[in-house]
Amino acid sequence: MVFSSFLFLFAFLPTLAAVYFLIPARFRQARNAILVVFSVFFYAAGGVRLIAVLCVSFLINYIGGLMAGRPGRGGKWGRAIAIAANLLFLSLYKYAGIFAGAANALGVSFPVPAGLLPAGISFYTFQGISYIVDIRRGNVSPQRNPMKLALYMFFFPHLTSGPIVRYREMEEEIDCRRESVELFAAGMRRFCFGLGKKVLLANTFGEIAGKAFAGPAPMSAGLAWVGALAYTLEIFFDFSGYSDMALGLGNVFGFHLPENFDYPYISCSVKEFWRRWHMSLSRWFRDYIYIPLGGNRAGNGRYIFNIMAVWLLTGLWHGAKWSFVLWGCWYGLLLLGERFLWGRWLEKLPALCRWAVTMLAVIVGWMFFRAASPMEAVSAIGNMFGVGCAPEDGRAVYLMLEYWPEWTAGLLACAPIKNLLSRAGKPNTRSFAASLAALAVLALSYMALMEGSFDSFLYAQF
Amino acid sequence: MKRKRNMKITWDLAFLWLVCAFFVLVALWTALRPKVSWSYFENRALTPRPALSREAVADGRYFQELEKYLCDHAAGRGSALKLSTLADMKLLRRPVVNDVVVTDDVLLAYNEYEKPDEKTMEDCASREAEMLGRLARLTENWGGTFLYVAVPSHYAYFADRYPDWLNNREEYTARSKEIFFSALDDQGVPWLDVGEVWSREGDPAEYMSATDHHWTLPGCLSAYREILGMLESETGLKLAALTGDNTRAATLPNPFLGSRGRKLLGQWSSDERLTYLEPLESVPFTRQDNGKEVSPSVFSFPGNDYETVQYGFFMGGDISETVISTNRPELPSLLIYGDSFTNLLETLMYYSFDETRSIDLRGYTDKTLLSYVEEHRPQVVVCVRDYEQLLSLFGNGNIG
Repeated sequence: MVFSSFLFLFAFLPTLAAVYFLIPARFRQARNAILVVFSVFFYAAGGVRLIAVLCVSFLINYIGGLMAGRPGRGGKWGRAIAIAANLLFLSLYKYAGIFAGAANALGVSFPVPAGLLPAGISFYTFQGISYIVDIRRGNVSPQRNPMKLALYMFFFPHLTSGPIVRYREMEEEIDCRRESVELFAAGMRRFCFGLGKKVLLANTFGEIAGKAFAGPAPMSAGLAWVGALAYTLEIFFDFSGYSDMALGLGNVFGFHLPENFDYPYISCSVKEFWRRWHMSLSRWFRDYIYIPLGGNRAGNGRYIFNIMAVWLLTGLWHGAKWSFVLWGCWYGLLLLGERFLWGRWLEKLPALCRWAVTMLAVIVGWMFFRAASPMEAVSAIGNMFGVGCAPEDGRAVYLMLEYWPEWTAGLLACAPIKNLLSRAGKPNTRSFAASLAALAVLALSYMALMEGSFDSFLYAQF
Repeated sequence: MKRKRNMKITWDLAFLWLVCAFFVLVALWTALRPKVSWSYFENRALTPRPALSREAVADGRYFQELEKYLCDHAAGRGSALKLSTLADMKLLRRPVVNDVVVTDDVLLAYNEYEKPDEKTMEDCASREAEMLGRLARLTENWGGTFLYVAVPSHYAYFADRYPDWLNNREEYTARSKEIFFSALDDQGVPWLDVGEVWSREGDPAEYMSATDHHWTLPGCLSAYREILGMLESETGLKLAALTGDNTRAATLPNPFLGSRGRKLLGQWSSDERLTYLEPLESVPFTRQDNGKEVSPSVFSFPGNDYETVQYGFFMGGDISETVISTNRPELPSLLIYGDSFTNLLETLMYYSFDETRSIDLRGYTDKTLLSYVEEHRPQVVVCVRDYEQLLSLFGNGNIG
């Protein structure tokens, strides 16, 4: 089930809210149980068979947590086994195909498995690993109550597409959160805006990118740029829209999930971009891979290795495709370049130039991310820069003129205009205006849903 | 301070009540409203309620289907679609709305950008022409005549109305005509390009509907005169023709909803009306549709003056097989086949023949057209296809 579906909006969410708030707040554990049951149903709507996957992941982390919490070598072994089990579990579903394919290419015969990829498996596996590691580090205590751990792992707002929540970020609120009218209203407003981002913008930009890239190849340079820009906006609004909905839903039930996006497309360097894009994933890699490897404090050679290792893994985390690996390497190289080659020179440029260079790198990066194969990515990027491209056939102009309202709204919504507006006027007026705007976005999103724009979120496939 | 906070909570509560009311009302209205199975404007069947089964729940199909069902039957869907179409046309001024290119006076088809494959085009042209050659030679076996009539597609007739950045298929149309007519010549198949006829007459805009993808009565009449002239010269027969002297043109007062107007959910205002031609002295006839006797009329008149009418007014729309018998054995027999462009032409052609048979191979599957022609041996066989279908080997392009 996805947040932008009719079933979620008009059946799941109202029913859950009604049942949840009918139970008095003092019965906290009953409310938690309701959230767990509904979260499992939310996941099972994609196929009841997926519950088994979720249960195995839960058991690995519940038992692994208890083991990792033991003092001495037992705890170390517990951590190692639990992490290995998590990674094995993830590899089994996500990477068996790419490894078998690579083995076959090397002449070793392996059957290539073709199975169902459980939605969000990368998200909840990483959450599980962070839970195990944090226990071992002494940051959190192992949770012995399976219901509470299940709520942390299965809480439906972050279950399939993040943000990647650490246990300590939810631990306290599992037991003593405080639901309120203000938080509920703020959460619903954020949910409505997130829904609008997904349904009104991301889906439309997906349509534009689809039209640009699906036509007869090769593309003209103009069309390649239109397609690349559309995809750049699609992936932002798709994922940040989901995150807004997740955070908003968290607020509705009294939780404060971590922010995941902070206007990444206003960044003036690649480093800044990754401080603003998918922040929970960046933090995860920083705390559980990069720093344990030595970070930037172990000499240049080690730093280069660490950066490339982290970005190779970041690419692989997104999917079992060589184009994701290439995408990860692209960012690894860009970050190294910023640090050792052009970083100081870049800092001397006006902000607009730095922003343009950064966006160019990001847009090219998305071409790797989007492509089914590295060759497809190279071909599309070549077309963007006039290599092997076709003459203009009007498609670029058509896609700009046809979707001008979305281009306008999309480009504006990438900028922190909301932050500026949130400082204007009196608080009551702001609240009233935001509520009105949220209602309008909700109505427009409903209309767009009726036009059959139902589809899944890009990041659920990770 | 406290007052301000109370005010904010009041706003928040009001907002929450509105959101909750919206969710609950939509859910209830969707659940309780009577369900329909067909969407008239979208011209498609709506998703039926999925069957609940263990397998479907296990693999997630059930909820996927349920989602489609709920979206199709959601409260206010029809109004939402109309409002959205209207906003796209009038407020946002999108150049293409619901796959229709909206101009000031005519609604055009949106053509996907394409890169035609010359080899495939040539291959299709020669295969289609070869089949038509077989049909022409078969008809000649009993002294009959075959004529292929190519009618401009709506997008081809109004090609100059497209903005430069949209695909009007001009190059594709020109090339497909060139290779197809050349292939017909190779097979010795007589053909008529209605586009050339209209061109000689100055390509009047009223020959094609502004809101539908078919021709109008004036356009069809122009083609009809040329077709009869060609048949007379091919066969030596003197065919009684409908002319300005022996006919009466009438216009239906009803609003006309063309296929493109329908795609815009009736939100594009148009004063276009349907005009039809009737002989002053009517010819009595019987009519059979798919083997069943039906009312002897070539028009499907609406029940009143205000309900919308469509192109299906002519001959009652696309019917697999229609037989009109005028009981005038001294006149030749006719078989006319093709896509819906034939419908309006049939309302004129039957006047000149004893028996008129009409076949639409998109629906008729009893036998191949060659077998059908062999069985009924019509003296005149006319194929009517628009430019878009010239190279199509499917539907009415598959006669063998």
